[in-house]
Amino acid sequence: MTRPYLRVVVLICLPFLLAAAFIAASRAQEATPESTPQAQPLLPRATPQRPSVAIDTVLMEGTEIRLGPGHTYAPIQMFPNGTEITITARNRVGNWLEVRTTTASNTVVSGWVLTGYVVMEGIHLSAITVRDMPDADVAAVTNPNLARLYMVPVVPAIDEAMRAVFTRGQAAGNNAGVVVKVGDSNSANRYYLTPINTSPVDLGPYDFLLDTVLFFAPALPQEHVTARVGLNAYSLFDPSWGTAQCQSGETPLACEYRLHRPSVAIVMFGPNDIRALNSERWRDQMERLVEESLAAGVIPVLTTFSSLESDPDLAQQALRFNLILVEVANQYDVPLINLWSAARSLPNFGIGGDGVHMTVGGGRVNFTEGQEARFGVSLQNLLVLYTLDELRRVVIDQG
Amino acid sequence: MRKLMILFVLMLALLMLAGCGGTTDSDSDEANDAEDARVLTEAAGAADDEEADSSEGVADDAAAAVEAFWEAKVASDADTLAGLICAEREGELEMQAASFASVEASLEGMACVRAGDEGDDAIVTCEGHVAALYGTETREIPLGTSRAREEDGEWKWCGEAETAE
Repeated sequence: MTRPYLRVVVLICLPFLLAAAFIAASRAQEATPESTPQAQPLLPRATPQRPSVAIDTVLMEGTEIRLGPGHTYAPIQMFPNGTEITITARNRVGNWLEVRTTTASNTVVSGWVLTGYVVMEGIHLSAITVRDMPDADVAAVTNPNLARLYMVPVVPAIDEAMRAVFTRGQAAGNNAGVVVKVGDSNSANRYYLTPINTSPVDLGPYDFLLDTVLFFAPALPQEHVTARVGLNAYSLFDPSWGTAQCQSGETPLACEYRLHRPSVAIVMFGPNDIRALNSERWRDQMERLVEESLAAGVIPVLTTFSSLESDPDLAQQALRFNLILVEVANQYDVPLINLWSAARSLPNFGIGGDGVHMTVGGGRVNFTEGQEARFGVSLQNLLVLYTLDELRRVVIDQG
Repeated sequence: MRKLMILFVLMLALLMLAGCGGTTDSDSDEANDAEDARVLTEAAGAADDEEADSSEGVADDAAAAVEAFWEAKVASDADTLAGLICAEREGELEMQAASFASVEASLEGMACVRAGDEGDDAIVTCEGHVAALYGTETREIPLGTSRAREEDGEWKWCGEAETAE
């Protein structure tokens, strides 16, 4: 290779190398609020830093452009359906886009919108730069307990400790490509995660999740002992809730792990439990669930749950239980999906008329029409797939 | 003629004596035999009942304790459950009391009987199930087989057991 050619290559690559170094340094210096994990997370997966591209499209529905990628960021302005916008960046998950548009008075407005309100046909999020901003403007949240919950990222950074859990599980005979569901009727919902195995998956703009879908879909169990209507954090450990496949005296959790030998368990309890159980006793059950999972070499991914605001007592109870989940996740360095925070942007917070079950946007995993911005189960599917993608890349593929 | 009359009277007397004596004796014997048989039968029956009571009585207590356990568990009645769980399983009290807290639970067709023993424990099998209603969906949870243990004169539920053969 001749020297002039080398100089040209270096000159072209240098700005991108400097940009990558700057971004990595910014992440390392980011302030750590008291409620975020105290342990050392693995270095963030090297998010492909694409060259900044500007993609022109339009809004499919009237919506507000906000100052940041979250419900708590102040709205800048409302724009109607059909507004021409230019996409300049996305958040990590890809469900928020940084856009700019020009108003009728030729004012350029730049801010964030939900991806689900943008026409994304033919657009792949993998081609869009990630601009890593906090998922919430915590300063705008006056209630300190709510602020603590908003501080928690929507999707987790994977702790180094999970690699050891995975390795231990593999040595014990667990299956790297098996994920199981643990929870109540929201987890048992046949439209939650299960369709990646039973129905065509249409990821729409979330193309970067395809490899993860292909990795986990084939072995996804159709039935789970641990995902049952009426199950709560206590009955998870009651052998009488076992199925015919369980051994005498075997808890549903132990039975599930024995039957399927998973590497990951996606856990969500809460919507029923807040109505019947004591919060501190519930903490004991969550701790037991995490401990038994880790001992079995299974990575437990905890999930906060969405709640309504219409009943103040239940809303307070939900907040209390969700903060317990955050504390337990921190205590054991296990991943936590903050579905509660992400669902604040959804109609009725992604919950149906009964106040318990999440809304459904169709019978399969489909993000082609912005379902993840409208329906609770669709958002839940997206966040779980994203987290599984992180686990696959950072832990499983490296194991 | 006179001799014939005397002979006739003697024969009549003999007949009368034979009938009274023989009849009385046979009746008495039969009566005695019947009485003996009755007494023996009753005695045997009483012995059987006693034997049966001696096992079914304990079994009733063991089975009754298991039934009481299920009733309290379905009702999420921690106070009652506390007196129905053996010492070895006391740590499960909270779990047992809360297990059905998220559903409307009821017992259907419960009938528990002692199926055998395992050491000092009674093995109790129960027909029937818990009907756990959530919304419009009902899940049937079989009552299965339990272990009961006598502590301080009281039978208590002491865990699940393999179904007795």
